[in-house]
Amino acid sequence: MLTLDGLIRKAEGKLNIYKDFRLQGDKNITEKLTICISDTHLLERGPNDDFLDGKPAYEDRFLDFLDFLLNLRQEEGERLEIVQLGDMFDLWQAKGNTNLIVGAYPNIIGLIDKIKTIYVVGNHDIDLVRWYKDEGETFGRRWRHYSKAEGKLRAMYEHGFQADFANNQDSLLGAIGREVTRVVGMMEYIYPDIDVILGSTWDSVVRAFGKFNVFTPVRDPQGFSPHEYSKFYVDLLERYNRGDTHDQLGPEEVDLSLVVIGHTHMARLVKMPKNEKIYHLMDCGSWVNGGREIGVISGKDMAIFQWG
Amino acid sequence: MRRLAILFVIIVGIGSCTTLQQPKTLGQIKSELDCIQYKEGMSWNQVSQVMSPPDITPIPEPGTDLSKNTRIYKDKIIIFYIEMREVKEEGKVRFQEVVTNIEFCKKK
Repeated sequence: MLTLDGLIRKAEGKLNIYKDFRLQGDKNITEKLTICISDTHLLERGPNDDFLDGKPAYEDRFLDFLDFLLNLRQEEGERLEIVQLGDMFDLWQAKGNTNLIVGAYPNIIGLIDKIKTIYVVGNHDIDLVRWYKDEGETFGRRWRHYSKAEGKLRAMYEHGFQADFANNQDSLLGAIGREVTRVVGMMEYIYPDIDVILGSTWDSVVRAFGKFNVFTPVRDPQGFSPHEYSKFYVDLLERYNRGDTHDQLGPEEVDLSLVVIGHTHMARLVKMPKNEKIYHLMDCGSWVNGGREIGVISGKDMAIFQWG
Repeated sequence: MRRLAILFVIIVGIGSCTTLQQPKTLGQIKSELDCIQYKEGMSWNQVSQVMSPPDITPIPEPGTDLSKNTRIYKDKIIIFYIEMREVKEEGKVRFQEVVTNIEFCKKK
């Protein structure tokens, strides 16, 4: 299995650790070099296409990264795992579902398929698992993916909207969130950066509420959290480790210590100690509005990188 | 402020209605159409039986003979079948969408 340092050397200066997000677990998390790509939000190249963001260089940069992955797949074969963490397509704003997006980005779609990517579904492309729900057709999308080491599940990969009350697609608030996104998408035809401005404003509000713990000051007096979903995911991983799930996984098969997500578009790698165990949360960022982050795990090592 | 709120509700309402429309599959769309697939050398009678008489019949181009004609249909439906093909561009693997089949249709 290629190490993180081996991967950096192979990339010849194009892969750099993002901020200082590099940590080590106490046990092996994967037995394959695992590379995670999240939130490309591909659209039809219009003003609301946040992947392109009016800058063709962003597409060239992503294609350069995919060319690197294709070479890596040829060299590493099955010792490499590539996971797309959802929101590859932005079907909330698409004019012609995936059809016209494929027409707009044939190189990207073709290369992502050719490098044998595992696809996890996100809230913006959840329609892929809804269109043919009755027939069981999901276009290769899965709700969640796991990696194993030493015979046990050690890492869980999902998009992350499951922890977001405003984007959980099984709730009324999630449906409202989708409509708000559509309206903001329409506004982008008039003012392309409106989504970035409104997103920052929303983040400021959430941060203020989190800092002062408006709703649960007694239960969570500390307020500050390095990641807004850390509590949700520590609880989820603990529940799985106890065997308290609907997935028919017993405690002897499960020893989860890492969850890998996207969704927030803010890359982070967070340590979450609880009940004498160290959990980690890896948020792989995005490829929209100039984002270019990936999450990588190799054995015990994990890091967030930027490409190019 | 109140007007802005009303406008927002209207936009969200319209957006919700369009979301409720499920995208159709090709099979669902074709169930409302009569279609014929293009093949080089196919008989014109096959086309005219499905598509009915043409809307415009231009005179032959000068320098040709009377047996070389064009026939035009207005407001008909064309279905292109598209697939992805791998190509090489400057030594790199790239992909193109190519047309693999064409069908001409009219509403039943």
